[in-house]
Parts: sequence; structure tokens; C-alpha cells
Amino acid sequence: MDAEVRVNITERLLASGRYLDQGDFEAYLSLFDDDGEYLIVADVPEIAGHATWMDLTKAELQGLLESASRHMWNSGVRTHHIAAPCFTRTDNAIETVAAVSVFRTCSKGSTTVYAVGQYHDWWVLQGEAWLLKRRRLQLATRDLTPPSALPL
Amino acid sequence: MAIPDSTHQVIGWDWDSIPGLPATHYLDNRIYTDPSLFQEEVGRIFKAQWKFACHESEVASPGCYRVIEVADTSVAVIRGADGALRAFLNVCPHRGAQLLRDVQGQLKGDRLSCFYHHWTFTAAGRCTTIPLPHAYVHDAIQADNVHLREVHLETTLGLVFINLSERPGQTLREFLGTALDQIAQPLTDLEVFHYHRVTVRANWKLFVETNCEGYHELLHLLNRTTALSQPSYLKRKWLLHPNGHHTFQPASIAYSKLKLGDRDSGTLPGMTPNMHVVVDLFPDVMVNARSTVIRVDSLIPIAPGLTILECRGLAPKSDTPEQRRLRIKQHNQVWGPLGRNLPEDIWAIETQWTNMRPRVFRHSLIAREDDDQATDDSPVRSFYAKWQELMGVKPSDIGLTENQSISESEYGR
Repeated sequence: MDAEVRVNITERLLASGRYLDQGDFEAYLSLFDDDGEYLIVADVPEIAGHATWMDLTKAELQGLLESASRHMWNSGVRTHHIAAPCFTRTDNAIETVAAVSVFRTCSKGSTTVYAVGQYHDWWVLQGEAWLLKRRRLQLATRDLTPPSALPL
Repeated sequence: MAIPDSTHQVIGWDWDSIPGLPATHYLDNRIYTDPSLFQEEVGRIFKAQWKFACHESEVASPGCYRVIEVADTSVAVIRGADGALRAFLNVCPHRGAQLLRDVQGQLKGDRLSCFYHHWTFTAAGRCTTIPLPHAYVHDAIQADNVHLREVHLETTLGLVFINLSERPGQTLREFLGTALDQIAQPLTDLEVFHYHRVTVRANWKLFVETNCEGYHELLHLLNRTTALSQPSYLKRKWLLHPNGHHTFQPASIAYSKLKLGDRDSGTLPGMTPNMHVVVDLFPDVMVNARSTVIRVDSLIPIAPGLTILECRGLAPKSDTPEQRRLRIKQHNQVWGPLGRNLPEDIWAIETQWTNMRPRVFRHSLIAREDDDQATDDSPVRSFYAKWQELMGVKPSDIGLTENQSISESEYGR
């Protein structure tokens, strides 16, 4: 895998967090392939297994983000911190795994860690752009306080 | 105390007076904030009434256990080798250590052993082993007579309830009456596929209220679009049961109006496509059936302004992987940790709590009357009628305590 591909995907990975933080949902959605998927999963000891907390097609993700401004979610200001990814090449895609922390700043200005986890991303080359075929956020945090319906 | 300037005029609502309403139609907001009242609630309501603990599928096979919390008390629900469900205080009778430290698990060989001094018990609660027993010279301390403290447990429709009182005043059947009848069929043969907790910075009753007044559906884009937008929706009826339980009678929800897809396949037994039914069980349980999937919410009150919300999603055991995936999506649309409605409910009641503490807002109104239709406050009043019966004080006026006096002198009127 050449360095240019690594740089390109890393930049898009970092942009995914930045676009969410900025509320630039159109740019965020443009990172996904047309049949891209977005998932959030968590290990849940209470049910001795894992649970899916979000499982959206790109169209469903778009519907959620388009209606976000009409909802009343106390999301605060969010800042994604995404660590340098590990790369794995498969036949049709490149898989990256990157730790992610999301900080939340409330209206009074204090900041707390809101959620931590790992992005497991599958990137495919469409034309000249690497696009997300699938993003699976494996959350370590299970109590998202205060909750919000915005993707992480 | 601030002195109003001469141009100050009171307009509109007289904030400092008792509302000119029947006493059943407003609340003294100290019911949310008073620390001693909160402790009374824990003792008289949460530890003295039947309390939802978990679903049977969480303790499905012999040796399975689930540790739950009733307010400040840890309770172990265990399925014994004989298949019977029992509940015990999660306390070793020796020195009080927690017997089971994981939230769920599987016993080894039908025994549970305290990690501290290795006293060992059967899943039926009987002590089998006290290590190095020779030093217990008093007859009272022998394996034959130091057993676990069993707690009353009963089940119905897969829902496990416990009662921490020594002698429950009612059986579970008497307590529930016919409250669950409307959703008895959909509750059949389910299993829990989802569990999560939310830390809520508000009094537990504020969450209960938001579940049992349909007026708050105005808060939710989802409900405004898919429910209230239908002219007939406001005629949806509440059915009030004895003991403070209620049913929000069936209605059809127009999910497609928010591009969420119809729920016309995989409908649960006894339900029709897009049907919605809610049952609230006193004091803290909401069973919410949305055609294809069921949600059970319950509460762990920690402090007057701190509550843990427990959320469970249930679906048929017989699901194929494809069916289950669809139900999970439908569950999460509304109620997931990142669902559309749950964050709005939490934010609403947390802002209420913020204004309850300083006592600038003294009375809450539960005064809507609309023939028990969707936005009537009658379910809230029904809840507080039961609350008053158990607490022995009127929710409209809990009387003055020392704490409130201090609070008033701090903040003025």
C-alpha cells in the first residue's frame, strides 16, 4: 500500500470527525459510498453479548442528519479526536482501525469525555476517491450522558 | 431577599400563590427535591412494592444469574438447578461483601462462593461451606443456619418482579390487576436483545411523568410528525387501572411521514401493523409496544436529583437474523441510546430539575382534563393518588421541613 493512499485515507478519516463537529453533514455524507453503512455497536455485559445501537444505510443516515435541526438534542459542542489508523488491505477494500475519543463542551464551557471507542472502517476506491463502504464504531462507553441522536 | 423596584409589576400567573385548582391538579415541587422525602420514597415505594427486576430471558438457564439494583440495594436473581427463579440480597451474611460482582453470569456447579472468606451457598440460598469452622464456637454460626436473605419474587409474562418487604401487602397478581392485559399477547415468548443505561440528572418522578402524559408528545419531532399530525390521534384514550397503573390505548403511528418505514411485517402477536400501545406500571416501569418490538424502561433512584434509567429492548425468541436486525433498527429509531426520542425526554426533565432545586418554581400543573384522552393529565394524577396512599402526604403540599425553611431563606420569594 503506497504512502499516498495512506495519506488520502487518513485525511478522510480525520475529516469525518471534523465534519461532524462542524455540523457539515453534507460533507460528512459525501465520505460514504452510495450503498455505505453506518453502525454503532457496544459490548453489553448485562445481556452477555453485543448490541447494535445504530444501523443505518446512507439514505437513513441522511434522513437523520437532515432532520437534526428540527429535533431537541442537548448535543453540546463536540470535538472528535481520532488517532492514527492501522491499515489492512483486502481484495476489494482497505480496512482501517482507529481509536476515537469524543469530547463534549456544554453551554457553560466545561468539557468532558463523552465517548471513546474505535472506528472500524472499510474504504473502497470509487473513481479517484476513497469512500466509506462501512463504518462500524465499536463503543467502549455505554452511558452516553446526556444522550443525543447525532452519530459519533 | 431582593426588593422589587417600584416599577415592578406582577403580570399573568401568580408564581408565589397556591394555584386556584383542586389539590389533585398541582404538585408541590418539594416532592422532587426534599432529601428526607426521597428516602421515604425508597423505603415506602421502591422497597415495599412489587418492583420490576429483569426479564426471564436474562436468567434463562439453570445457574444463570443477574444482579440488579433496587434503589441502593443490590439483589441477585438466580435460576437454580431446579429451574426455579429466586432472588436474594446480594450480601454475604458473614461480613457483608457482595456475593456476585458481575452484573450477570453463570454459577459454577450451582454454587456461589463469597470471594472474601469463601463462604459458599447453593443457588437456593443455603449455606454449604464455612471454611475453617472450628473457630466458630457459638452454635449460631454453622453452615446449617447462616443462609442468604431471600427476597420475594414473582413473574408474569416473562417479567420478573421482586418485593423487598418482609410481607408484601399484595400478591403480584393483585398489584398488577388487569394492567398488562392489553399487551399480554405481544409479551409472549420474548427475549432481551438490548440493554443500556442513562444517567439522568433529575428526580425519578419527572421521568415517570413524561411517560404518562401524552401532552409532552409535542416535544418530539417524531411524535408530532407520526402521531399528533393525525386528526384522530387526540382522541386516543388512557385507561386508568387501580394501584397507579395505566394503559395508553392502541393507536396507529404514521412512521412513513418521517421516512422511517412502515412496520407492516414482523408484527408481534396481538398487534396490528404500526400499532402503538403503552402500559405504565407503578411506580417506575413503562412497557412500550411499537408493533414489532417492545421496550421496557425502569428506574433506579440514586438521589433526589440523580436517577439511572434502565432500557431494555425485547423481541421474539423465534426471530431469524434478518428479522432481528430489522427489529433492532426499529427499536433504535425511537428508543436507542442514539434514538430520536430518548435524548429529548432526558433533556426536558433535566431542565425541569434545574428549576426545581432553587425553589423559584413552586408548583407544577397536572391540570389538563380531556375525558382521559391523549393529552389529559389523568394518568399523572392517578400516579400521584397511589403515591399519596403510600407516602402518607399530599403531593400538593408536603408541609414544611427544616430543609425547606433553609432553602427558602437562601433563595427568597
